Amino acid sequence: MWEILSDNWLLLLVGQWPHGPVGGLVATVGLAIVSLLLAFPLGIMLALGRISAHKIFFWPATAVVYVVRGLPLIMFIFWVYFFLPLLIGNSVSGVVTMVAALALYEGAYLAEIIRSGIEALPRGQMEAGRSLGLSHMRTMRKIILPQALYNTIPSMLSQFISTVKETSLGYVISVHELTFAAAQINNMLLTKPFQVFALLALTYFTLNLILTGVVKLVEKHMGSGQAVTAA
Amino acid sequence: MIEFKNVSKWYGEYLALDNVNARVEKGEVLVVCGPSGSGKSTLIRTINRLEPIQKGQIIVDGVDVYQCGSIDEMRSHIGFVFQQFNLFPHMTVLENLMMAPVLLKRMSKHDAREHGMALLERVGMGHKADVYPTQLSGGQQQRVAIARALALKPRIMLFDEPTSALDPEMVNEVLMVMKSLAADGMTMVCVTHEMNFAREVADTVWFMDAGRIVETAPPKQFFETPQTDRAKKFLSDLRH
Repeated sequence: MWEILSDNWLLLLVGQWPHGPVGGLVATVGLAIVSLLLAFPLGIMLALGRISAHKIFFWPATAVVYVVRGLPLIMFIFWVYFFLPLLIGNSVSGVVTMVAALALYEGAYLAEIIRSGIEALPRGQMEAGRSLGLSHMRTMRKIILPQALYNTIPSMLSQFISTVKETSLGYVISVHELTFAAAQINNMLLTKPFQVFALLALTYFTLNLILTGVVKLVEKHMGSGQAVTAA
Repeated sequence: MIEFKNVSKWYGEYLALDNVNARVEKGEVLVVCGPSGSGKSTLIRTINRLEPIQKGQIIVDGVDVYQCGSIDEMRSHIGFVFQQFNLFPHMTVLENLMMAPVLLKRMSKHDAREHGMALLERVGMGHKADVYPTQLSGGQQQRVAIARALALKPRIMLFDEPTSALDPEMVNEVLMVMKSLAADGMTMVCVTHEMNFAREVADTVWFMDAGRIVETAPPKQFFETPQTDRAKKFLSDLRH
């Protein structure tokens, strides 16, 4: 197993780069970061829709969240992969497909996290902003969201961890990420699937163990700093 | 001036305000008291439209609060002080005071800071300008909240049980600030159980029961010769 690692660590880390697209672990982390960055504003918008008193915002946002949460991610990957090209008339690369599907999927989950953060704040915060004469949107932006987003950082980081794992589904549409690299190695070696996939599991596990540690640290730090917890 | 005309409010089936007709004059200090559930908090919250009403009108300085073009503009002339202070915990004390003038009056940060500091000095909190609200005692938080409500130079100040969430030894510092506001001629509506405050500072006392204002009198008259049995019982319960 260690031999496999020492022979192939570069492929597992960066794929065929610099002779091809960046792959491997770097692509996995990159996919997770980019899609979560895109999912973040989407999540905020969906969350605001979910708590909106206006039906034209509430219903579409709620529909998106329910549909996304009710279907497996791989469905979205297939949908984007097969139907987006028909819609826009261009072929779409696997990476773009994966980012789009993940952003939508994670956006819906982030929306629920952010919504819970907003709803956990005392109602008086909104009332205090409004009674100063701030509009609803301004109160949201200056008072509610800064607190809600800060308070939900640990949950959002946890979502990042599951996003890292979900990037492995990119394998089915040949996105060059970590699982794809492992499969390539397996195809070369042919006789050592157990060792190769054990190595793959270990890599994901170690990465997420580190990330979980980061979440723990952040939680601890937030718990000790009382400046920004809701009164 | 605040005027209630045939104001009724329901929470579902429950009648919270029952055809209220009353007025508060400019410069008047009004204390609203009554048993819990009598509608006094609901009443004060309707003045800046924190609670919707189903019937009637509330006119503040000639403008119908529930029909006006911009409720935000209206609210910037009315200061509101909450029982739970509701300071913004992610901002320092001074930032709490600076936000509204900077956002709504286009005041420069520099001017807003000076203005905010002056207000903090006024409520005796100048030395805490740069700390976060959660590091303050309840009484200190409430004094900051009053300063914040004053930051836009409102014409009217509303106090919704401002001392009810405080430890007894902190009540006085808040009442002192309120008294100094009253002495400056501010129009004030105070929902409070502090009967000594009412006695010393109020021009008028409204006694509410079951969504109605059942007595309106100067404090001396209200405390010495209450007219209704409900008010008599309320006052005797307070003394025990």
